[in-house]
Amino acid sequence: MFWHIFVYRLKELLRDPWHIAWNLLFPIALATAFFLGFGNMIKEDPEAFVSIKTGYIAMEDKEFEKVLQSLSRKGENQVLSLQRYETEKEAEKALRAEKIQGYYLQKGGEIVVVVGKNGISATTLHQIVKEYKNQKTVMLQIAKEHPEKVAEIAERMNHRPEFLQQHVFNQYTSPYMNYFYSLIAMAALYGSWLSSTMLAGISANMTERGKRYESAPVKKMTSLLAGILSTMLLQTVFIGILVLYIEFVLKISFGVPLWQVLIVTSVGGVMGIMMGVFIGALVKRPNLQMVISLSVSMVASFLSGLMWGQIRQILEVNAPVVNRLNPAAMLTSCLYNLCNYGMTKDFYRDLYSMLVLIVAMLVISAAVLRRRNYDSL
Amino acid sequence: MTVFKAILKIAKREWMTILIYFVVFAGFGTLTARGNAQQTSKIYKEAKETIAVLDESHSIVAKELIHTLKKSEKVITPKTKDLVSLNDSVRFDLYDYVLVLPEDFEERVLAGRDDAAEYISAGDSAGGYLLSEKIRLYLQDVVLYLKSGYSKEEAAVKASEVITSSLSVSSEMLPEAKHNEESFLSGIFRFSAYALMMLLIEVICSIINNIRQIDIRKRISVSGAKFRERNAAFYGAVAIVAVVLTGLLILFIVLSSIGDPDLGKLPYYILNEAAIMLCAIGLATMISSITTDQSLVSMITNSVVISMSFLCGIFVPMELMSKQILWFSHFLPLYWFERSVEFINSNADSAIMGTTFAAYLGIQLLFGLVFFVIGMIVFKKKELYAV
Amino acid sequence: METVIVAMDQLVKRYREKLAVDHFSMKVMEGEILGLLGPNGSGKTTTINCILSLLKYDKGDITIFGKPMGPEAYDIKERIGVVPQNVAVLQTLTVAENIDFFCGLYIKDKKLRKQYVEEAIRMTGLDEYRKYYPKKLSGGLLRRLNIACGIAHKPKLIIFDEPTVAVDPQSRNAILEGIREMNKRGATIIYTSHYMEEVEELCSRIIIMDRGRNVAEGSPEQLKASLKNRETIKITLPACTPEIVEDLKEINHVYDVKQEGETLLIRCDGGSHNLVHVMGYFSEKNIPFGRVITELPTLNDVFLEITGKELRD
Repeated sequence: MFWHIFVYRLKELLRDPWHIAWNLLFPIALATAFFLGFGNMIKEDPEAFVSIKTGYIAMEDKEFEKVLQSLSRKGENQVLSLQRYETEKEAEKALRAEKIQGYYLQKGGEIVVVVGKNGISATTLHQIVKEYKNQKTVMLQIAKEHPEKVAEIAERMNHRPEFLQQHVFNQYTSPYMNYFYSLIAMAALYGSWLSSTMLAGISANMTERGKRYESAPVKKMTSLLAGILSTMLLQTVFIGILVLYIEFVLKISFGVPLWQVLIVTSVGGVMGIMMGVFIGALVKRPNLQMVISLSVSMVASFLSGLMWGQIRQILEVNAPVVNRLNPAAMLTSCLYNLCNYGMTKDFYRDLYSMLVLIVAMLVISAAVLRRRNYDSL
Repeated sequence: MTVFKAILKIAKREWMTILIYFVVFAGFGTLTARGNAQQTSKIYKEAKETIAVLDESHSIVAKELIHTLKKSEKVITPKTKDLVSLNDSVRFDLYDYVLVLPEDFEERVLAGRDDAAEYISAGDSAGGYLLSEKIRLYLQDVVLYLKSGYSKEEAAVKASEVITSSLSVSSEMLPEAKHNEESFLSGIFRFSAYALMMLLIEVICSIINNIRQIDIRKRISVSGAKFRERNAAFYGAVAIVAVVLTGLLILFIVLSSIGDPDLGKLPYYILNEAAIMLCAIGLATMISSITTDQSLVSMITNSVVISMSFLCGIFVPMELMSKQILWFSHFLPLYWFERSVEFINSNADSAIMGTTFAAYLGIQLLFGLVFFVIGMIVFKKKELYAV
Repeated sequence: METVIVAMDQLVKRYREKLAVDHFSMKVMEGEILGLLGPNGSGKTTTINCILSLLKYDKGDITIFGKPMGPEAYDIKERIGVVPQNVAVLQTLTVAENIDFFCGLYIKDKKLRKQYVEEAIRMTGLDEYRKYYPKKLSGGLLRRLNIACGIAHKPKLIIFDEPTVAVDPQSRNAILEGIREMNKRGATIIYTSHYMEEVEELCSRIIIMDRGRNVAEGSPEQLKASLKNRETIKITLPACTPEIVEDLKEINHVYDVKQEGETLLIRCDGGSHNLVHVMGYFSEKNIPFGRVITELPTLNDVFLEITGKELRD
């Protein structure tokens, strides 16, 4: 009986174009749109430092010119791409045409920075002048108050320690990958429609075929478990296809062994299925079920970073309880931690949270759905 | 009951859909717009970077360093000491930089160690480079003063004073430079495109599909009402529904941006919104000509609108996209909506109305017209072949 | 001695303040086709849902095959078949798959199930449509599929809830024939419908429900015999006078005479030669008349007389 129901549920759902479209094709379409939209940013860090195109007009302060020359020396530490201009007009023209981001000139003994717009480049150009002025000021002050130390200080200025070391984590993946994690979470939660459809077919108070079904000598729990298992299998396959599509067709690597990603996403898929069973157990009207499923999926996905990448982290800092209760955030966070830091305690926290949620929803739904007769139909 | 009234009643039935998208817009649109309004102004302005400083040493040098940083940056004491969590905040742009000062920070600085402190910044970012340079400069100055014979306290204070005084660098901006801070108003109008398109397309498709049910269509067509009157009533009602829904969205925006300095640009934003509204009506007509199944309509709408929103700069800034995608986006109506929003945002009130702005509106209207015509043609063909 | 298949005693079911079934009792004997009639909202479907143990009820007992019925009485449910009013099939399974699926909920043995499914397909004339999906079927074929899904497992008790709604005459005929065939093979049937002529034709016994109560019970003839009006004579009379009406009322067994335009309606409460007496009167008085029609009471008349003519929900 169990396998009879299982096989027919699978057939029934697999042949429904609506489910194939929503649960398989739509996430793939969205993944493709993401890839087209910002796939390049995943492979190349858009915030990576690029040498600033800068101009300068010949100035009296040759020391500063030397500083500019040293900063534009080709190599790893090249800060500037320098261009000399004869007149200020030429430099201004180049700036307006956005061939350079700023230029230096000397006016009344002062070094002046001219920029086209504010930003990190403008600030960096300012910082160069500040550092130059700073060196001079320090030297002058020391020469005035401790002249015996001048030679030593001059020597020290040429060999300055770094003082700062960057803390490096195991793995660097682009923060834009979070959109893909959120997309997978959304696809997982869309599994709730599969289970809602399944549930409608076995509940007398939802559909006519449910009435026929419940008149039959089939144990409710057998029906429920067979139905849940068939939807789980389907959803696991759908999400697996999505993950493989991202990894092999879009060539966006998760950075960890794929089997680990597939296990986590399968758990997420099961969570989506159980969400549908839970909603179906508590809400009787099919239209209302669909609206609630859609709303919950959308809101949860948004709060996990589907449309605004930062929101999950903002909530993590200011209201972490929201992330602890949001199923999409649990899955997104689990994938994020796995792909960036490995199987840390946060990874396990999210994984166990999903499992607990699955069990809780299963238990509550089973308790509600156990009953075989109703007050009204 | 007239066709007009019937359509208004059908629209009322969609109150749940309207409520959902309105709440999504009100909640998330506001959050996104407020968040981005802060962020983008930092990028385009020589303004404060956000540094989270974890000071374990509480030493004089550390205190003076933090004091110095506060003069030019926004310094925060994080709630957590977990480096992974702090790294996440950097990766997701809550902080630009995290500085970790260990217990023996002062000793390490005085010893001239390269690992006196640790920092976390996003990859190889320009912002990270800049802040590292500022911090190094201060610490290097402290060491220089110390080696010159000053005491620890004097060295720390003097280094701070020198940095502060050298902050005044002469700088000029090109005259007539574009204003490129993103205002809250532009952010929320940008997000509204997504919410408005979703809302209008779902509701209008529902109206069209209800009326298009074959028996209802026949019943209406054999009624005494004249063809022109019926269709005028139909499209009139659809237009009113669209205007009311758009109006509600705009009303919310106006109420949440009271006091915004850019409120003078509101009429232009409203014109832009009206253009995308008409485009949405056209798109709804086209989608409902493809299918009468409301579930399928939802699916197509979500696929099209969300994808378009990503490709046209609604959710992810356009300047971060590849040239090929930007080229492709030219063929999507939301691209022109977004360009229009950017145009309004970047220009003074008096410089907005002109051929460029008119072109942006015109292109959106053209898209809407094309979608509408395609939809009508498909309807006609389907009637002809009794599909 | 006749075996009682379904025994329902003093069933009460309330939906909040509304009393849907009001101390309703009935017995269904083995081998009979019981018609359950009633206007909309009379409680028929509620009663059926209670029999199937889909609905909780407030009072009363229901036994089927001599055992108390309950949600988990699987041994009883195995022997019941249901053909609901609305088509209840899976849209994404073919005709054959639908029948197999529902049959499989009752019959575990694969071979036996396969045989039953084939028989059901043949019996309902769906052989050439076995690979079709429900949305490709006409209304009549869908109804046949609906029936096939309910009877494939050869139940002993079959409940038909308005199975011939919106079905063409040929399909209806085929369905009724099929029901008779199942009955001949030993199935007991409970049949609800609004089509009086098919209930009259099919059912050996009828229960009329109204406002949740059993208001009449018996064979069609017994029910018709309970009516006051046993015969209606319609005569077209171009020139009718009040005197004629009064005279006709004097004839034995005539209890009511009404004039409707040019037609005179004469109602008789018994007797066997009423038409002869009425014709005799006209002949005697030399009164010209047109068409003459005599009608015996129908089940429809019984129904309307018992339940009233006002519109229901």
